[in-house]
Amino acid sequence: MVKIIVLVKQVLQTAELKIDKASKGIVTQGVPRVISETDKNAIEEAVRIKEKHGGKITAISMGSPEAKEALREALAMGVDEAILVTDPRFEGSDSHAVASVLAAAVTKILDYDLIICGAYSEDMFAFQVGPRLAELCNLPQFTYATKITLEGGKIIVERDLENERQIVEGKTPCLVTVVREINEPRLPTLMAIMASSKKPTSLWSGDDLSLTEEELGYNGSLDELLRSTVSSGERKRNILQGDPKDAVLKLTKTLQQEGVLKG
Amino acid sequence: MTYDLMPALTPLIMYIVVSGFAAVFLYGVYRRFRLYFRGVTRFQLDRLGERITNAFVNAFAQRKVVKKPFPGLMHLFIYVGFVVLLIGTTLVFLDYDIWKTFFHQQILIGNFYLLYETSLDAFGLVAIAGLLIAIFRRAIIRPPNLPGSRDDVFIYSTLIVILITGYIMEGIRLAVDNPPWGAWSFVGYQVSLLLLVFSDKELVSIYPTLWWFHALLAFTAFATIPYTKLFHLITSPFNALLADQKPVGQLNSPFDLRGLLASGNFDVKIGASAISDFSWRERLSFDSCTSCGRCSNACPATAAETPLSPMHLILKLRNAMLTERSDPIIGSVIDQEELWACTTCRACVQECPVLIDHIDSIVDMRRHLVGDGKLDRAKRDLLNNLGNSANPYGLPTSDRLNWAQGLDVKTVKDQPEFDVLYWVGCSGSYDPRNQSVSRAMIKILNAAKVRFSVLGNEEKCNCEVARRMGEEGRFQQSALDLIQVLEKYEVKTIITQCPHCFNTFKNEYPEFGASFQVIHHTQFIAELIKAGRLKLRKGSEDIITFHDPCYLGRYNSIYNTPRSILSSLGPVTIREMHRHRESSFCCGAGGANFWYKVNQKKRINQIRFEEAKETKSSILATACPFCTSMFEDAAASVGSTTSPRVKDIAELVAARIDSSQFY
Repeated sequence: MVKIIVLVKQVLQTAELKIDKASKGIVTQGVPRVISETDKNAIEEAVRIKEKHGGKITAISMGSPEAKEALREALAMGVDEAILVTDPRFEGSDSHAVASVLAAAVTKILDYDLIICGAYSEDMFAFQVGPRLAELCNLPQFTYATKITLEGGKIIVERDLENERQIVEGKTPCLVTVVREINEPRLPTLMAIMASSKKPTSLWSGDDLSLTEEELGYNGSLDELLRSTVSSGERKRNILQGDPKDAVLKLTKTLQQEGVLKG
Repeated sequence: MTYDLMPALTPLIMYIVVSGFAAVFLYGVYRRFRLYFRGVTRFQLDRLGERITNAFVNAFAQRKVVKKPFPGLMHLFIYVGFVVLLIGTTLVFLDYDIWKTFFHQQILIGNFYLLYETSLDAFGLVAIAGLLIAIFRRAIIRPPNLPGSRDDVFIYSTLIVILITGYIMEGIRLAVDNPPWGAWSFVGYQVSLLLLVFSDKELVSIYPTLWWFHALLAFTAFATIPYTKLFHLITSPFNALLADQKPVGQLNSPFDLRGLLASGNFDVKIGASAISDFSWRERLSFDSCTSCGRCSNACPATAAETPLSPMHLILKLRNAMLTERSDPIIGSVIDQEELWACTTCRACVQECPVLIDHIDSIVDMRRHLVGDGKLDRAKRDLLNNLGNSANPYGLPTSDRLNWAQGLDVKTVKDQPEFDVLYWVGCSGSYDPRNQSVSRAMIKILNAAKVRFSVLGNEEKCNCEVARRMGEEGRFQQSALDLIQVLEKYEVKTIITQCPHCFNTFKNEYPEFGASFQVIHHTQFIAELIKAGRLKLRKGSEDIITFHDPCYLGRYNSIYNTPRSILSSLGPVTIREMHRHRESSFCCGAGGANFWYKVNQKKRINQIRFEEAKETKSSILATACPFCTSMFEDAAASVGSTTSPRVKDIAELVAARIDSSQFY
C-alpha cells in the first residue's frame, strides 16, 4: 500500500499559441488546455507504482476552474481522487506562491508516502515548484527521475543529470520530480474520461487551506513578471533541389559556412 | 442408394446404423453452435428478405466462390456434383422408402428414370473432376496461403472412394441384371463391360461387402462434417443469413454515446480481448472459414510481410474458440502488431466467399487496445492531436484556412447562403501536397460558378481515423459536435476530396443524426463536366493509370466516375493496372496506418507504385489525399525519371480549365 500524491498542472497547448499582432502579447483565449507533459509522466508513474504495490493516488491541481478537465483526465488514467485548489486570489502567483499553496494542501492531506510531479511545466519551464514544495514540507527530494523503485520503506531513484546518471537511495515520505524519459503515459479514452466523473473530486479555496492574504497571489510571490516579449526566429527556408547527392553536398557546405558544422 | 441385390432386412439394419451416424453428426453441430452462443450475444434477424437473398446468392449460388476462375471451378464442380448426387439419393429414398412403402407407387420410372441415371452418372464425374483439381492444386501447384491439412487428405480420399465404389456397384448391378436401359448409365455401363471377366456369382457375392463399405463411408463423410472444414456447408449459409445488413462502409457501433450521455452511465465493456467478447455472429463467422487463403492473397499487409495475415488471424481466433479459451487472447494468441497492420482496405472482406468481416473483428480488438491505453507514442500523439487540435497533425486550428490565402474562398460566416459546403479535410487543409489539390478544387468550383462555402476554422476532423483506430468515444463525440455545426449552417450538400471523409459522412454519420447529401469530388466534377459547366482545353496525349482508392471503390463502388473524368480530358489512354476496381490494391495508408510505423519488410505504397510504373503511364491518377501522399512518398524513394507523376484528378482537371472561363 503506497499513498501517492501527484501534482497536475494544466497548461495552454503550446502549438496553438498565437501572438497578437497589435499588442505583441500572447493570445490565450480559445487555446486548448492540456496536462503538462511531464505531469502526465508523473501520473503514469504513480499509476504504475499503484499497479505494482497497491495503494491510493490523490491528484492535486492548482489552477483555474477549467483545470477540472485536467483532473478528470488524471482520474481516467487511474488516479483515485482529485482535488482542485482554485481561488481568484491565486492570480499572479510565482513558483514560490504556488509551492506555498500546494504545501498547505499536502499538509492538509497529511497521510502520504510519496509526492510525484513533473520536473517542470510546459509553459514556464522554471523547474521550481517541486523542489520548493519539498523544502516547505521538509521532505527529502529526488529530482529529474528516470526510474523509481520502492523496496520496503526504501526508495531508489535513478536521476538523469545530462552528463551523469545517479542512482540515489532514500526513505519515504519524499518528493520525486520526473522527466519525460521515465515512461510512456497511457492515453485515456474519451469514454474513460467521461466515466471518471464518478470518482471523488473536491474543490479547495485559499480559505480551506487557512492561508492568509499575504501568502496568496502577488502578495505571496517573491518575484513578479514585468513583461513578456516575443522572440522571433525567422527560418531561411532554403530548399536544395536536384540530385540527393549534390543536395547533401550543398547542405554540408552551407552548414560549414554558417559555422554549424566544423571542418 | 438402391437395395437391389441386397438381403431383405438391409433397409432396417441400415436405418439403425444411420441413426448412430446422425447422432455423431448432430452432436458435432451442437458442440460447435454451443460455442457461438456463449457470452455476449447480439442476434439480429431484421430485413429477413434481404438476408435470405444474401444467403441464397452467396451460399447456394456461390456468387463469390466463382470469382476466382480456377479454384472457383474446382469448388463449383465438387459442390454441384455432390448437390446433384444428394438430390439423386434423396429421390431414391423418396421413391423406395416413402412412395413405394406407403403408396405402392414409384416415381423413378420411364424417361424420367433414364434422365435420372444419366445425370447422376455425369455429375459423379463432375465431382471427381473437382476433387482431382483440388488435389492437383494442393499437391502440385501449391498456391500461397493454402495450408495443407489432414482434413484435406481425409475429405478428398473419402469422397473419391465413395464415388468410385458407387460406379463399381452400379457396374455390378448392370452386369448381373443386364437391363435394356443399361447404357443410359453411361459410366456404370462402361464399368459393367469391364466386369464381364467375372462370373455373376462372383459379382453377387462381393456386392454386399462393397455396398456396406460404400454406405458406411458415405455415412462417415456425412457424420464428420461438423469435425472437418466441411462444416462450412452448415456455417456459411447461416453466416450469410446473419451477416450485418448495413452499408459496407459503416463500422459496428459498440455503444451509442447519446444514450450514455443521457443516462450518465459510461461503464460499458468496449472492445474484444477474449473470445466471449465477440458477437455470436463473429464467432459463427470464424467457424465458417474454409482456409481458402483468398483474403491473405489479396491483403496488402500480408504482401508487405507484416505480421498480419487475415486468414491466419481468423483461424487463430477459431482455434481459440474451439479450444474454449476464456483468457484474453491479445498478447497470447493474437499479437497486437497484427491488429495495427490492418489498413482496413477491405480486400479480404471483398474476397471472402463465406462473408467473414475481418475488419469488424480487428477494429473490435483495436478498441480493446485503445481502452487499455498503452499505445506507442505515434498512436498516442495522433489521438491526442485529434482531441486537442481537432486534426491528426496537431497543427493550430487557426491555421486551417492558410492554404486558401489569395484565393476566392468564403467561409460559412462570410457567405451563409450557399449551395454546397466544400469540406476541405485535414489533409487538404494542412498537408502541403494536398493543399495543392484544395487549390485545384477552388479553381474548378469558381470556374463552374458553384456557390460554395467552407467551414474555415470551424472545420474539425470527423475522426474517421479515430474510429478505425478503435477510439470510438472520440469518434462519436466529434460526430455529434460536427453534426451540430453543420446543422447550424443549414448544410444540405457536402463535397469532399477525401474518400475517408466521404465514406464516414455518407455511411456512418446518418446513424448519429446527419441527413445531408455527401458527394465525392470526382462525382461532383463529373457532373459539372457532363452539364457543360466546365470548359476544358484538350491537352497533349497522355497515358494515365487510375488507382482506385479503397474507400471510394470497394467501400462505395465508385469506379466509372473517376475514369469518365479522365476520358473527358482529351486524347487520353487509360491503362489499367493489373489489380484495379474491386481488386485494387491499397496504398497502405488506411485504418490509421498513415500515422504510425508498421512492422513490415516491404512497403505497401512501393509495391503499388511499382504496379503503376509497369503500366508505363505518364500519370498515376488518384482521388484520395492519402493515396496521393503515399505515392509521392514511393515516387521519391524510387527516384526514377521514368516514374509516373502522381496527380489527384482535381489537379488534372484544374490544369485543363480554359482561362477564358474566368472572364
